[in-house]
Amino acid sequence: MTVLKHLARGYRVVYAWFWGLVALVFTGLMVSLTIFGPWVVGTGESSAWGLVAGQAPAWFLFTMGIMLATTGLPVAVANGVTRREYTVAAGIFTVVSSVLFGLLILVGHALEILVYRANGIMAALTEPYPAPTLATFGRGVLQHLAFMVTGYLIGLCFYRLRVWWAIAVTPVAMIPVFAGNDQADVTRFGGVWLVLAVACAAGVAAYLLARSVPIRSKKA
Amino acid sequence: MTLGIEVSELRLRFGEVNALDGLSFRLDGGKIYGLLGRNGSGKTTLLSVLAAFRRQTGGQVRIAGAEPFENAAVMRQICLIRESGDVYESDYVRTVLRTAGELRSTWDSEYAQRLAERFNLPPRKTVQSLSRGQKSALGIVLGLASRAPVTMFDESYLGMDAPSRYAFYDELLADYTAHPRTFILSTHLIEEVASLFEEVVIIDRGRLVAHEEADVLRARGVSVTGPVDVVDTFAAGLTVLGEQRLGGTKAVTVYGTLEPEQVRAAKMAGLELGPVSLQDLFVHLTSEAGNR
Amino acid sequence: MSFDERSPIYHQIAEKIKRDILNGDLGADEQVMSTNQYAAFYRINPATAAKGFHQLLDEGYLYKRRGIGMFVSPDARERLRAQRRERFFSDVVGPMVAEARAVGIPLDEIIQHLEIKNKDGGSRDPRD
Repeated sequence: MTVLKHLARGYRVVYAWFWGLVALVFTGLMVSLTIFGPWVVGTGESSAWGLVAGQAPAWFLFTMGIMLATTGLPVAVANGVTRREYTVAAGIFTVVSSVLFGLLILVGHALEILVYRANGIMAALTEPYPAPTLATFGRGVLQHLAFMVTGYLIGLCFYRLRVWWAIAVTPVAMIPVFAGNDQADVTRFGGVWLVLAVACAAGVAAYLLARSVPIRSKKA
Repeated sequence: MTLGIEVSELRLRFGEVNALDGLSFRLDGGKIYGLLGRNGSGKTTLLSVLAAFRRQTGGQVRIAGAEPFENAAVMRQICLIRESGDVYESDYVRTVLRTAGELRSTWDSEYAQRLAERFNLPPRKTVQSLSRGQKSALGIVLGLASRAPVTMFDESYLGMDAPSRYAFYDELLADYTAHPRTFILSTHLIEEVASLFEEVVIIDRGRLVAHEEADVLRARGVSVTGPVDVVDTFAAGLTVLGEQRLGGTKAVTVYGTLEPEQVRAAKMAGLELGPVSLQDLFVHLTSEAGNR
Repeated sequence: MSFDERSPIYHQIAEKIKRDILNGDLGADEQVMSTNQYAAFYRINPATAAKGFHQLLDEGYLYKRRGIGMFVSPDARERLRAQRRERFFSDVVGPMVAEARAVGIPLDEIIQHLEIKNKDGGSRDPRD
């Protein structure tokens, strides 16, 4: 619990920065939209928010996963935390982050709908607006989870293994990312389980790598 | 709080190299220990195993009777400060201290604050922008304020200038007196810190060379100087750690305490006896030629 | 003064306090520093310092008052002086005579020198 609190305290600043930046870009788009009309977003895309918050949060969480492994773990062990305690806390933190980011994406959609309606854009859309459903929410959460776990696993690979080994196993370690991007369609029942299974496998692999990892001296 | 530390037949292999090669000793705990060894003797490796930073490849470690590796109850009572520093380089000094406070139940943040001021650590600077001495001082603060029942400093104070090092010695003694616990200080520069140690463990090539009360060790070395053949006759059968020759004169360093009759015999033979400093004794015990 | 690394520190501590008593720097029934103060002042291990003080307690040069501290025994100085007097000829005069013989100083010259010194007041060695 103390480790989880520590992670939450440490990462909330980075998360705030990230979402602040996203909000800034989004606000800019919305403002231009109300001034210049819907063509700003381009044809074929009906949601500006979908553009801004489609891939970026997932890849951001991917890098956060790498940080959790490469900087968080050694510092925690040096402060008397076991690798197991840390991995469990990092796992919970990954789930919490994924859900949180999923919720924020929903909030963005809700705001966008308000702006669209207020400016009569909704009716002018050539493509139908992707309505925020429980399914899109679930899809987002799964995608984030898969990305962050992958980041953690790859970070550990590079921390623990010789660099060439780490590079060699990276394509395999990336599987959850591919699965998370293409298969996390909640409407297709199998997809959900596939992503979950792959993400869990990555989590287990990460724990196996972490549980006996030596905390090396930086010089040696 | 005293946690006994027991190491038996400890081995750690890095590929072809035996960093620890069957090391065994027992520390009662609650004292300030000096861990002495040359560079590459296995000091850092030993401390890293004690702190559960890495797992040994053979033998046993027991701290308070339990294996420390991945043992939450033991690990939270141990703090190892390595010279390289196990902190995140882009973090601010205050973040590093806050992290320790969040993760360590024994942490004393007021004391950390006081120490940080004493060592002039700028809280709003990042670790990577600190000088070597400041980085060492940060390690000192992390180690002392952890108040961990087993606190180990791996040469972490050698990067500091003399006034800061003396400030460290003062703080160490004061805090040890107020909150008795186990300290292990590793070093290869002995003269300055030796008076802080109650016991000394000397290792070389991953093996134990000596484990003694520091004062006992100070009494243990004798230098014998005189004509070559007289010295040779006298030293026959004694443990000779090193010898030097200058013309017809020879000086040998003998390990062990001489009996009164031996002292008398030496004086009768016109030999000169002298004390040996801990540093010299260490050099002799761990030099290539000093194979006992 | 600081302690050297060539002989047991606890022994050096005991010797230093004895010298202070002998010189009168520490008077009868005067309180001595506590072990911890001593350790902090000279930057030495408290257990080592305690061992030095224990030796002096055992030998009766110091005595303890519960909860207050350690004090110089009233007879400490006299006992130390008696002891040093006994050793004076073997420890001081003997080596001096041997050295004088080695460098060729005749005995009368030494005696003459000592008499002059004594007239000057024979103040104690400033090094102490």
